[in-house]
Amino acid sequence: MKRSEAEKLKVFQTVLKMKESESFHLRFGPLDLYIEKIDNEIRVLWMTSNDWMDSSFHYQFPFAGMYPDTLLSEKRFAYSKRAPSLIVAPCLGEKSFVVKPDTTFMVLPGEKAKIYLSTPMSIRLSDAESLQVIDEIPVLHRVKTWFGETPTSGQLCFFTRIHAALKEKNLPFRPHRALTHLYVENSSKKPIPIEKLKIPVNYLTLYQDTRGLFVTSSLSIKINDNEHIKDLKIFLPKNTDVDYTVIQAPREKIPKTLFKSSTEIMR
Amino acid sequence: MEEILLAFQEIQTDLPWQDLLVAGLFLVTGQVILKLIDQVFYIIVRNKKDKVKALSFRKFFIYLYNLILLLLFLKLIHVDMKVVLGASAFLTLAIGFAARTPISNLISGFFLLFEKPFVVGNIIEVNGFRGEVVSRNLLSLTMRTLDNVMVRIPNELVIGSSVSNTSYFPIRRLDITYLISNKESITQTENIFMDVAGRNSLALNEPAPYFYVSEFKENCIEVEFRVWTSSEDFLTFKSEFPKEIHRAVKKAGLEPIRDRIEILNTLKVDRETSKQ
Repeated sequence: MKRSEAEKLKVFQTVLKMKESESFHLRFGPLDLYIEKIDNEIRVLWMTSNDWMDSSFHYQFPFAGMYPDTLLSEKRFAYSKRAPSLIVAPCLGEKSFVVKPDTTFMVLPGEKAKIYLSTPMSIRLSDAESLQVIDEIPVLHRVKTWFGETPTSGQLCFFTRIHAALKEKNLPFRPHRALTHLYVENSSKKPIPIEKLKIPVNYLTLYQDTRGLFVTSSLSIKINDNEHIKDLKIFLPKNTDVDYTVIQAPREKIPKTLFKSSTEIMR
Repeated sequence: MEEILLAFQEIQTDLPWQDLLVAGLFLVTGQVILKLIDQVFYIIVRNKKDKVKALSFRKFFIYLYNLILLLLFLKLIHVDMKVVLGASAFLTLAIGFAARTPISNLISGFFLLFEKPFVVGNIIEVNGFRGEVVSRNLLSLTMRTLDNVMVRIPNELVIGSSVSNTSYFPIRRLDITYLISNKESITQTENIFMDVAGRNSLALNEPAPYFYVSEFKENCIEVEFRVWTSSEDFLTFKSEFPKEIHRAVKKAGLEPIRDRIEILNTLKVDRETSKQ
């Protein structure tokens, strides 16, 4: 899928009204997802190729084909009455993501850099009436990592290798990844190397813009001397050309001091 | 004791029924108010993760409230408070001697409450027992051992012995010792270990795995591999990762250690040669 075809991703804003014995198939990057409705039951089958570069996207509803023979994970959800209509939409991860750009960035003293980063999303299945979350299926098999200076102080996060870019057009388009704009202002007297970044996706809102692209709330940090973060802001992406629709509200309420030191967000 | 009995005999003979009614109503109303306070307290603490401290304070508050209620009730039925207080001093002394262990546990429980070396759900090792903390209160700690046995350990013992908590930090390190033949390449072995860790989704890439040679033995090389995982995945990882390492070593065709067998064979050959 190309960036220009992102309009197709707006299908996630519709409700999936399935009749009895109907099936739905979604290919979202490395994830192959099948949903089947049988009487008072919803059956969800999926598999992931683990190819993080995969940028394919298509869906079939109703799906008339056969499920692949390869190993599929399966979950079944039982209902006392008729199974409800579903909302199938992407959501951000439940833990922070540590992203490692292919090459290390340097933010020089007095400079302000705008970095474009992307993090893999999950697919969330919700009841269309009650909006209750039924399940979440990660698009990629996630790997955990530790982000901290010592094994005693830090946070357990998900890890992903990414292309980080200073221009949006230079970032390879992957439909299953949400774009985050990170502004880093270096107010200290020495250059700041950025080898790894922690994106606290659990505190961010997921939006879909009018082009169909998935973006998160933007982050802005100002780093003082002694590596202290002076100013942390989380806000709606600054792009006046497009409008944003909220797809997922933040999972957690932002604490008063999300990060004190720059080492808590970048290393 | 005689003084107390005399005080209660006076109640039975001289107390007007109106005073007894008022005292009774006071006791009932006091209990109703306590129930209401308890309900409000329950609503406040029900969503808290660690309820132990709150529940201990609740118990303490209930005991204190009931004690005050009882004293006021005795005052209402005209019991001489001097006698009651005097008798209670003796009673406290007697209880102190009789209930030395429970009191010691209670005090230890208070210390543990503030020190907080573990919370419910943690896997700990204390006093020779290893298992999951099911509950803890002011007197004891209840654990479920890994072979599903319930163990109650008095707080006095917990405070007096060393406690190791494997769930305290979010990540843990697994150390693997492996023997390779001294004919094999150390670099190749290191690459195999690193590759297996890189492919295992439970192995953390940060802190990075670490490989080193711990000892050059007579017939083999002892290598150590240190790899980190999340504490919640530790048992699964500990069970699966060494198997993966061994499979990868075998698949790569590294020679297993059989120097001992070779020596035995040599001896056998030597004996056969001497017979001839």
